[in-house]
Amino acid sequence: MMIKMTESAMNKLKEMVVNGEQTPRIDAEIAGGCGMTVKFSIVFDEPRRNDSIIEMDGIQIRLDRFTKRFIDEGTQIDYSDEHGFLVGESFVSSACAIEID
Amino acid sequence: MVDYNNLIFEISRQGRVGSSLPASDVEHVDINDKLPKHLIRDLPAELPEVSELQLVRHYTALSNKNHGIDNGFYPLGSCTMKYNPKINEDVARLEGFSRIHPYQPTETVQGALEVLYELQEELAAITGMDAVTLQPSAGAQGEWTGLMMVKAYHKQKGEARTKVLVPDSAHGTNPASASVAGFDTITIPSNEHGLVDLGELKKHVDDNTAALMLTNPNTLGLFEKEIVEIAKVVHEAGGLLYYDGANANAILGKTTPGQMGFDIVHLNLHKTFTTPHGGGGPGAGPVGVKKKLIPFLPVPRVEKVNEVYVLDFNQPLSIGRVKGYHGNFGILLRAYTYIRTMGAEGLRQVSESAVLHANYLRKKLEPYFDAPYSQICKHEFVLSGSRQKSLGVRTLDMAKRLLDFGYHPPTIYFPLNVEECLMIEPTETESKETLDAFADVMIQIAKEVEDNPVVVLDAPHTTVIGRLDEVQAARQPILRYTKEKAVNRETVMS
Ligand SMILES: Cc1ncc(COP(=O)(O)O)c(C=O)c1O
Repeated sequence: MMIKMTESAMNKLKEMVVNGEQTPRIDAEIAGGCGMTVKFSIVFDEPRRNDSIIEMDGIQIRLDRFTKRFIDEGTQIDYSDEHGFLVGESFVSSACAIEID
Repeated sequence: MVDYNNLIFEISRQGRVGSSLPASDVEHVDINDKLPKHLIRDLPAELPEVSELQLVRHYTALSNKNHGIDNGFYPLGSCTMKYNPKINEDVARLEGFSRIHPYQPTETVQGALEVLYELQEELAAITGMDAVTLQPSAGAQGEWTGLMMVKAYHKQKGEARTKVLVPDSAHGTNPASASVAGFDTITIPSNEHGLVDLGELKKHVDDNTAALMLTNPNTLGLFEKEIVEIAKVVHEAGGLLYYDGANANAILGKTTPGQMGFDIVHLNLHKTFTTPHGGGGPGAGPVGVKKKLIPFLPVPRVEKVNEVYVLDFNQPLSIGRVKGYHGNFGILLRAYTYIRTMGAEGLRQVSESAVLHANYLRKKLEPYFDAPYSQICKHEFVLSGSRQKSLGVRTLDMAKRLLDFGYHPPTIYFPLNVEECLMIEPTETESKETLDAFADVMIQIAKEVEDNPVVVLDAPHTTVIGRLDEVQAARQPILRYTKEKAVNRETVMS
């Protein structure tokens, strides 16, 4: 499993970590009803048991086992001041990229 | 454990037939001489060729793998998966009903029309409405039918109201039906008790409000106690009140949407009135209305004139026909049978037991799961898997684990305003032993999450097919059978 992080996302994460927030996490949330959609977000919270930790450029990012199932090679994280963090498959087909407030 | 089935296309052998016909005694004609070339296919259709026995075994094996209410407990919240009495099936198969045709002259089908008429009357009494149409074939189509009448009603008054208000706990079909009917949907947030926030509602109600759609009890299983005030706010602004009757199982014989102030109601006969949910259908979603909306009901209306049942097409303000013939007649007949076998007292007991069962189960499970709205509920309740999430196990994992014990999981991740939601509706038709056994399994799973999470994370273990690769299923869905893909199935499934 590999996650791609754009430079702006990395800079923003570093800034937030330095500011003393907890460890960042990529989290999958499910919305149900008829059929389910999975949305990814970046959150800062407590460790969970069976978390995996990935290290990128000195920054630790957690994800739980559930989230890991949904993340694949193509997952990229981007950041812009306007949209916040975007976690998605590819920014070319940004239909799949999810906006994070 | 049962094996994975081959597809019927895979057991097919060229030339094998399931029936033998006598030699043809009419002259052979070549289709190429009869039809223009562009209408004739180039390649033969890939139809399965199997013997009768292979066919029977194939579908029997498939049906054995299906989980239905006749196989086991099915606490799928909001769907009311209760027992469908077999007497309904007996009645639906009576020849006088099963061998008639919708195009027969009405004087030859008076019995069938009487059933429709009587069912309209019964449902009007149950909902506190003045008239009912039986045409819509599902809850969602009932919603759309109701909203088209809302539109026609305002139009008749010379108004073009565009807004339909829907609480955030509503079923997805509510906003969807509103859009399809051409309205803009406005979402009203719930308050901390899970109920409609009256203050928020007042902010959004104005002279452009066509209707408020409400489910009561709502999808959290909670009764909207301020319903009378809510109805007043909407009515004073000239709007109408729409009742989503998916949860009517909680209120039968206790109160009616009419008493609460609603103008339009749909019922899901496949929920409250024991008609089969089938494989997605056919269903029935009759719609009841108050007097002021009667002119807009779909045609034909089934009426009784001088002791004769007639079809009335002559309603100039009607929104028209919404379904072929008279709706799903066989389903309507089953619901009518249920209502007549239960009687008014029986239906009241249905709701009492449904509510009792839900509260019994809720009390048993609340110590082990987070309960965002811990209070007496109606026929269903929600729990949250937040506590388990912090231990690295999600509601979806626990739902999969339930399959190992032969239970259909509850509704999960709905309503959307509850994190890691589990929505449990036991229904009135289950025994105390079944509720206890289910509670024991839920408690066992909660303990496994703490002591042995892997067994939950890797579930299910005993089903024909294990944990599906949901990512691949979502990204590369294979929706069409082709021989090449079938050959590669092993790789696709691993
Ligand atoms: C609250 C609620 N409203 C509406 C519907 C839609 O009903 P149907 O599935 O019959 O279209 C459902 C069904 O799942 C429901 O639970």
